[in-house]
Amino acid sequence: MRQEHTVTGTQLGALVFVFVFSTTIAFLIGPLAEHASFDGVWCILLGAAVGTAIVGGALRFAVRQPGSYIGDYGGSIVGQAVHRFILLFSAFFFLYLSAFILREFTDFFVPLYLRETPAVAVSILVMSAAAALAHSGVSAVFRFCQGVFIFIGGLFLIKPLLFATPLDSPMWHGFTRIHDAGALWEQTYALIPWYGELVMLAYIMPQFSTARHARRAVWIGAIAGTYILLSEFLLMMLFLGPKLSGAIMYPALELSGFLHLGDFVYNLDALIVSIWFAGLFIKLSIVFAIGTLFVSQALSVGDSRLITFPVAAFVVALSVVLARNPVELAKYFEGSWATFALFAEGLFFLYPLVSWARGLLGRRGGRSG
Amino acid sequence: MILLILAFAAIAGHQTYLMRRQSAGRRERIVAYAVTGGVFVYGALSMYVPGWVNPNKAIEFIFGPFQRWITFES
Repeated sequence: MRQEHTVTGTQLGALVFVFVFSTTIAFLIGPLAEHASFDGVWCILLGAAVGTAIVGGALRFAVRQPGSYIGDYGGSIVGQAVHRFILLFSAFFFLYLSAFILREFTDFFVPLYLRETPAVAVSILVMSAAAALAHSGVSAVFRFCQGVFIFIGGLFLIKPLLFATPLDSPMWHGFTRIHDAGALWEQTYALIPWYGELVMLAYIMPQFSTARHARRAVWIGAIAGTYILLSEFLLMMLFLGPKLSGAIMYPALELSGFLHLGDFVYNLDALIVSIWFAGLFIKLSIVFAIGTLFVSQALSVGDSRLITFPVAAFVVALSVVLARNPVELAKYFEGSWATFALFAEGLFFLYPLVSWARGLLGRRGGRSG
Repeated sequence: MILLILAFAAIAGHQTYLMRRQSAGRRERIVAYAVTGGVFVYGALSMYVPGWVNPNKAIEFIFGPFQRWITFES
């Protein structure tokens, strides 16, 4: 179902804001602290700048035809066969990403809060909700995000204030210089595709009511999201230290365990995890909705709702088989995911590249003729 | 397996309902059912031979060497 021109700039900015830090805060800052230590701050800043610039470049091309889906007219630029390949590969990437997020979530949530519950049952329940939201269209995810981002953003904005004491630390000096350029490059490279995933927005341009201001909304959302990510990383490093942050699986969760309000509210972690889950759910839903849209466009199915639930079943099955345990999943992730993601995200740039080359050849042909 | 069959029967039922409501064309019906059938086969394989349908090994095989080269890993 295509409800066009309904997503406002605020909804777009809100989604980008939540998208940027929802999964990174839980699953990426631990490995970042382990490998890059104090240089992690620079990795986040560089990764955010490069990743958002990639998205900005894609949006710049897509905004030339704000009323049409590139999935519909892309075949006239690069040829039908290449266009179909791009759509199918992108569809696989975004569905793989959905499965990855789902698997990360069950690996994190089941042992901590739902012991003895089969992980596949949790996957089915979470994915059913995400599929139901995607079934209502991509714009429904943006509307849902607008409803909850105030809570998510508000929580993560006030969270650093509750850690005032450890902020007064000599460790601040460690962030001011670069310690290991190799680790800095490696971790920045791993972080860029997390922002680059937002290239998907260029494929749904007709959804935006203010397509011409989409880039501005994306930059504002990305800067705000990066601020949250950065503040969480700094808190983690200052409170737990670089070695402990790298050694524990979910340092952000451990950090929440130390939070309490005065003498009467202890163990705020359950509350924080519940609000954070809304952010993760938004990311899962939008990535899944876009993946389903790609499948429907690649197979020329007019209404993506016809295949939403079978594709959701595929994501659940994929999340189960991705790895035998979290360690194996992390190994695959660190070994090849960034390049795979950048390749999938970079496929979009074939459209502007071929379009530019054709224009150049056309001008030359015109001159010689 | 019985649960898988029941789940996919429910999905196919929902698809049929949507197609009737929208008066979907013949091609769309075939593609939609083919997707469901393909995913059913994938689901069954993931239960019995999960190693065969795990794409990570293929992704690692194709993109792993590039990543090691780009990040100067030995």
